[in-house]
Amino acid sequence: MGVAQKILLSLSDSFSESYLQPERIDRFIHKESHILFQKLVQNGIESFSSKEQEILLRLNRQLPLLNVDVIPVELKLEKKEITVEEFEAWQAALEKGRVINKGVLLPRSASMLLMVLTSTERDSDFIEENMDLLLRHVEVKREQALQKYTEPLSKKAIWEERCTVGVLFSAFARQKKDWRFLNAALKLNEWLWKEYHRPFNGLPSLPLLAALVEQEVVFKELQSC
Amino acid sequence: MLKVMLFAPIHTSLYSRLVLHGLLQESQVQVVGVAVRTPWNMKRIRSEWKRDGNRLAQKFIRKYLLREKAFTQVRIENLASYAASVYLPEGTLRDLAEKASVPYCVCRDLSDQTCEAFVKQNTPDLIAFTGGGLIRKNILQLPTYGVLNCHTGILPPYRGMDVVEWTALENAVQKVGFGATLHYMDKGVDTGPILLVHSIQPHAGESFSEIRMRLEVEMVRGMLEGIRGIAAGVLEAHAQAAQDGRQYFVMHPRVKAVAEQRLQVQLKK
Repeated sequence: MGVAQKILLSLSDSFSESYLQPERIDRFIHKESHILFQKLVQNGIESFSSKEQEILLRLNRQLPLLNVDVIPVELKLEKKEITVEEFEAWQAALEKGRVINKGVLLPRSASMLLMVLTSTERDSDFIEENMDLLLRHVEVKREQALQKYTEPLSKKAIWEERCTVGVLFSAFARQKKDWRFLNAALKLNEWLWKEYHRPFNGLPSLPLLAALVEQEVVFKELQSC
Repeated sequence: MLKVMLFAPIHTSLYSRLVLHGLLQESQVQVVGVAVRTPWNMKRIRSEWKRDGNRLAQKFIRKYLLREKAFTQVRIENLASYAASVYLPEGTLRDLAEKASVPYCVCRDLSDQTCEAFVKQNTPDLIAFTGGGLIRKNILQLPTYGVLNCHTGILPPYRGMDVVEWTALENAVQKVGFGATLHYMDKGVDTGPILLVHSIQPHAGESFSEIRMRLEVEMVRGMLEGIRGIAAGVLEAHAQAAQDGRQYFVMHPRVKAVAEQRLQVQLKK
């Protein structure tokens, strides 16, 4: 084998796939949850919005599975994030029953689907069809995915929507034992991680924390299946 | 005589060169053209970089610069050893086409106007697609028989990307196995009618890259066998039902690590 050939072969081998290491995710989860629970103890749950309260409740259930300490008190919701009326209005606004049409998403779709997913009276066909649409959209559009909505949203609202899709993908992967959705969550959350760590982004950490915690819990669970 | 045109992703592709070399030796086949995508297209480079990341750099070094030499230290059957066994001449697709007086076309995209005009001018009955991105309706509808693709997995269950890895991840090595599937292309991803499947038996301790190397040889064999069968009128395609398979996407490295562990467990059984 010639020298040039050897160099090229070792150069090719050196291009390993780079990705967000689980140790970095673990450090982020520990740090952010510590800050979050400190705030919770100091200010009480009423200082959080209803959406944040839902996330807190979820985190409180899941963080022990990742060996992260949580506060030893039972959290009670002040107000449910989504009411029945809100859900019915959202569903009625769907075009052909789809949460996404030509790359444009109806706001709050991920939260709504997440709610339907955990409800006992869920319509499986509705969820599966829409989850497949979301999966394809995220895999094809990659970093540009989930950016367009049927109405103008603030940068923070778009951030929250995208992070909630990260949670939704992992939750669906767990329910269906379908790695394709966890695979998409890993990619989506990695793009969100990069966005969050850009200087002066002004984005809240809680939605990303929720997406990463869900991802890590489900990864552990599917790996042991 | 079946008039066949070859579509290739790059002029140095060993897979494409082997298929062209094989077709040129078929008595019932006339190769009426070779259409190749230019690698020097910023839009293509950007989109492949986004999709593949560092894998694109690996692909460039191995497929564009090293070609057969990339397999020098490989002991199992691979495209280079197969190329040696069929006496594939050195050089590029252009060299092979020129030597056989086959019309040759370089285009930015295999569905662009240049390519469409080339297909219309040379009227193939069949197109053998050996890679190079999406093929749109304007091209799919031109050849009488259609456009053939050989997929690196078993259809219908495993459609899309990285399906060797997905098969292992889903513990389907025994049930579904590994293979290359020859099918007609349609507007979906690997959803067109199936002509034939070439399965391989994986060995204990084999890695994904070794399985892929063996599958690449089966893709050449499958493509040539399929075209021979179509030319002789003895091969029939069978439609796939949408619900018989799922589409898979590029696998995240963390998931791939799990798939690797599961592959070894399944191969020991």
